[in-house]
Amino acid sequence: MEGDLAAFDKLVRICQPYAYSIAVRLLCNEDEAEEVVQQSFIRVWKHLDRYDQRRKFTTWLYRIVTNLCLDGLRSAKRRSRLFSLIEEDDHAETIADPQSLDRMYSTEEAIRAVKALTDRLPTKQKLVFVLRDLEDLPVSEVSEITGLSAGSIKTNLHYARRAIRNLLEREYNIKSIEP
Amino acid sequence: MNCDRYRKMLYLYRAGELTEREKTELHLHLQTCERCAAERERIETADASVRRLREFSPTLRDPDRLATSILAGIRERTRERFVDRILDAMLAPAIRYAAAVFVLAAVGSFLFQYFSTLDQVANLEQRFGRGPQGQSVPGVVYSINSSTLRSLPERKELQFLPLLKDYTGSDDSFTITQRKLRSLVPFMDLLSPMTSSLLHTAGLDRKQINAVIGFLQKNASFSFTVSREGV
Repeated sequence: MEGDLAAFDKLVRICQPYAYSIAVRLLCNEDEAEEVVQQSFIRVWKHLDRYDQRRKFTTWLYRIVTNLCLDGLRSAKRRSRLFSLIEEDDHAETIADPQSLDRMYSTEEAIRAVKALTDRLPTKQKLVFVLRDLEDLPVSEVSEITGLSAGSIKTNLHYARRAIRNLLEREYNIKSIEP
Repeated sequence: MNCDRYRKMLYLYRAGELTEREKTELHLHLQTCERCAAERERIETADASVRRLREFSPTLRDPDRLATSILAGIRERTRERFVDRILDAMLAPAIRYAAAVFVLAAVGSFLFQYFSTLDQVANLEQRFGRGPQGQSVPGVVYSINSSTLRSLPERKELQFLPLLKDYTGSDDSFTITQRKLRSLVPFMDLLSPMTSSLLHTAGLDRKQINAVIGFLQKNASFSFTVSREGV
C-alpha cells in the first residue's frame, strides 16, 4: 500500500501541473482549480482498476479533470443565476485589461485574460477552445476527453474562435496588437 | 461566389483540422476572393493573441503542498473505503436476509423443541412421575442432563411410562426419539458464546468463564426424568 502510494506520489508530481493548467483555464479560479486537481487524483486512485492501459493515462486524467470542472461551472452558473436576482452582475469587474494579452507576467493575469475571452462562451465551446487552443491538444485527444465527435469539435471551435475574434476586435481593439 | 463554406474553413486553421483536400480548396479560393483573404488576416491577428495565452503556462502556487494534500486525501479515503467494504459486506441484502432467517429459524426451532419436548415430559412427569400415593417409582426413573443426552445412541426410541398405567389406570404413553432429545444439545452450545460474552463483560477471566459454562452445560438445563422402555 505504502509502496503504491509512493509511486502514485511520483505520478501526481509529474502530472499535476498539466491537470492544474486545464482546471485553472476552465474555472478561472486558482483555489477551485487546486480543489479539482486534488479530487481528480483521488478519483484516479479510487478507480485505477478501470483505467484502460491501451489509452494514454493523461487523456484519462484530463477527462476526469474536465468532468469535475464542468460540474464546478454548472454549479457556479446556478449560483450566479441565484445571486443575479439580488445583486448586480459583477461581470464588468472581471474583464481583463486589454494590454494583459500583450504582456503576460503571472498566472493571475493569464487567468483574467482567459476569463475575459471565454466567460461569454457556451460551456461546450469554452471546453473545446481551452483544450484545443490553449492546452494545444490534438483533435483526436479532445474528442476522447470530451466524448464529442471530431465534427462537433470543429463546429464548436469555429464558433468559439469567431466569438473570440469578434470580442478582441470589438472590446480590445486587438487589431492594433502586433501578431 | 458562395463563401460561407470557406469562412467556416478559415477558422479551422490549425494542424489536423482540415483535410489536405480542404486545404487545397481553401488555398485556391483565397487566391481568387479578396474578402475571404482579408478575413483570414483578421483571424490570424486574433489568433496571435490567443497564441500568447497558449504559450503562457499557469503555474501552481505550491506544488508540494498540493501533492501532499492529495496523498493525505487518498490515505483518508482508503481507510474509509476499508471500513465501508466491511460494512457493505455485512449489510449486503443477501447476507442480512440470510442472517435474519437463520436467527429466526434457530430461535423458532429452539423454542419449539424446548417447549414441546419439555412440556410433554413435564406433563408426563406430573401425571406419571410419581405413584398414586406420590411416591417415586423405583427403577424406572432416569435423570437426564446435557451430558447424558450427548451419550445417548441416536436411533433407539425411548418409550415413556408404558408400565406406569399400573399406577394410574391410564393408557397414555409418550414416545420421544433420542434424536429429538439430542437436538437440544446444540442449542446449549449456541448459548455458550452468549453466556461467555456476558461473563466476560462481568469481568471474569477465561478460566472462570470456562468453569461456569461447564457447570451450566452439565447441570443447568434439560434435567428431567423419563422412564426406560421395558422397565
